[in-house]
Amino acid sequence: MAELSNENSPSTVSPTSTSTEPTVSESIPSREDASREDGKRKPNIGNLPEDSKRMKSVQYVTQPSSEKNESIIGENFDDNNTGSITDNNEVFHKNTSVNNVDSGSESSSNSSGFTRREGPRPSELFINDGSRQCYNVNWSYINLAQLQSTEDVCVVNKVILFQVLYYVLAKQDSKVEYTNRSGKTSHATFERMLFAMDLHARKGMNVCVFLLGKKQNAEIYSSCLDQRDTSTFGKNYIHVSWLLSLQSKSNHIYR
Amino acid sequence: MVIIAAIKIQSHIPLAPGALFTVENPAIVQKWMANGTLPLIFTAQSIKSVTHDKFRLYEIPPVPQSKSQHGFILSGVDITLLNMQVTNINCGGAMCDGLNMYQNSVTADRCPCYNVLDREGKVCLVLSLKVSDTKNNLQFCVHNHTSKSLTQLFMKRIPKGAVAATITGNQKHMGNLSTKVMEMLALGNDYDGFNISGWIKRGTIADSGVVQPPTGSKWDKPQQVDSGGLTYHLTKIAYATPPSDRILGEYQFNAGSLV
Repeated sequence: MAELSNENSPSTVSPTSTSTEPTVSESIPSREDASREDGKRKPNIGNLPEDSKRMKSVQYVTQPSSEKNESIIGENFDDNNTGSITDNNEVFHKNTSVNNVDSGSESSSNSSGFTRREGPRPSELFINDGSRQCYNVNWSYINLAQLQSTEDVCVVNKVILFQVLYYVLAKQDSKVEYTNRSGKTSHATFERMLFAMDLHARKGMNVCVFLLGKKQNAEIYSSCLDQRDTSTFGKNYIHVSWLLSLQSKSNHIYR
Repeated sequence: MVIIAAIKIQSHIPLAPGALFTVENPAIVQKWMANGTLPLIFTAQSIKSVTHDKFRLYEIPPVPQSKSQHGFILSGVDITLLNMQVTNINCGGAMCDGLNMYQNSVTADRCPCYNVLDREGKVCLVLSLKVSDTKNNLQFCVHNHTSKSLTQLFMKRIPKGAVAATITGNQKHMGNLSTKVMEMLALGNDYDGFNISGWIKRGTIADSGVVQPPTGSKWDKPQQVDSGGLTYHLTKIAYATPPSDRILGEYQFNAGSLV
C-alpha cells in the first residue's frame, strides 16, 4: 500500500529480540546494478532526484539455536506455507506461544487448506483512534472458517482482521437471500453492503459481507471516530487538546 | 495561569477500500448468502479501524478454482495502461472510493457513500489495465476500473468546476494526461511495482445444454453452470514503494491548468 515503505521492518520481528532485529542497510545502486533478479529495471536514474535512488535492503541475522526451535514451532502453525511470505518464514516470534493458543475448535485450523499466515499480531495493530493503543498480547486472531465451523466456538479475546474490499448500494427492491444453519431460506433488506476480506481465512474462501441498514449492524461505525457513512466519513478531523500548565510564583525556584 | 491550546490535525484512514478494520469477539456465523458460500457477519458492537503502517501485508494469491468469492493481495506487480477515458462521477464521500461507477458501459447514478449534503461532479478516470505478476506467473486485465484515489494520484489540483468534457474536449489535455498516466505507471513498474488488492468470483450462466423450466417469478432461477471466464476486480492500487512527494509532483498531471 502507499503508506508502506521499505524502512518498515517486517511484522513478525520481535522488538525485544536483538538477535533477530533486521539490520537495515542503505545502499545506492550503481547504474551497472540497475537490473534486478526479477527482471525489473531501475527507473531512469539520471532523471530522478537523489533520494529516489536509495534502496534499502533488509537482512536478518541468523537465529541462535535455542530460538530456532521456537521458530520451528511457529512455522508449524503455518501449514499453508506457500512461500508467499518469504520474509517472515525465518523470523522468530516472541509471542507465538501466546497468540497461537486458540480455542478448542481450533482443530480445524490444522486441516489442509487452512491458512495460518504470519501477518501482524493483534498486539501489533494500532487502533486508529488517534492514540497508539494496541491489542493486549492475550488477544489472538480468529478466522471465518472457525466462526462457521460450529456454534460452540469460544470467541473471547479473539479478534478478526478484515480488509475493506468494496461497498454496494442497494436498489429500491434489493433483497438478500440467505440460508441459516438449519437450511431455511429467508430474505433480508439492506441499505448498503460492505464486502470485506478476512486476512487469515481459509484459502479460497475469505470474503464475507456486512449488511448495513436499519437494525442491521447499526453501530458498526460508532467507534470509528464517528465516521459514519455520511459526508463526514473519512475526512480529517481536528483534535483539540488543552494543555494546562499552571504557573504561579510558588512554582518558582527560590534560592 | 497560562492555558495553551494545542490544535492537532489528525489524518485518519477512512474505511475506504484497502483499509483494515477489526471485529472484536465476533459473533458466530449463522447466515450465509450465495448458496452458503458467503458468510454474513452481524455484530452488535462497532468495528475498529486499525493501521498497519509498520507491516508489509503478505500476499494472498487469487484462487481461480474457488467456488466462492475470493479476495487477493498481490505485491510488486507490473501495471500497464491499455485504455483510458474520463468520466464524471457523483461520489460525495471518501468511503467507496468511486469503485464500480462505470459498469457495463453505464455510469452509476449514485455511489454507496452518496448523500444529498455533499454532491459535486468529480472527474474520474476510467482505466483498462493489464496486471502482470511475474512471481505467481499471473496476467490478467481489468476493464472500466474507476477509483477516486487512483485518479487523484495521477492528477493533482483538480479544480472543483472541472468536468470530464474539460479534458476530453481538448486533445492536448487528453494527450498530456494519458502520457502522464503512462509515465507514472512506468515509474512504479521500474521500481518495486505496485501492491494491489481485489477479488474474483467465478460467475454462473444459464445452462444452455438443458431445457430450462419456465420462470414464474424473479426468484425462479434457471439451472446454472460455472462461467468459463473469470473477471478480476481491483479495489486498491498503490505503489509498493511510494515515491517522494517531490517526484510525484513532477510526474502528476497538473489539472489546475484546465481552467
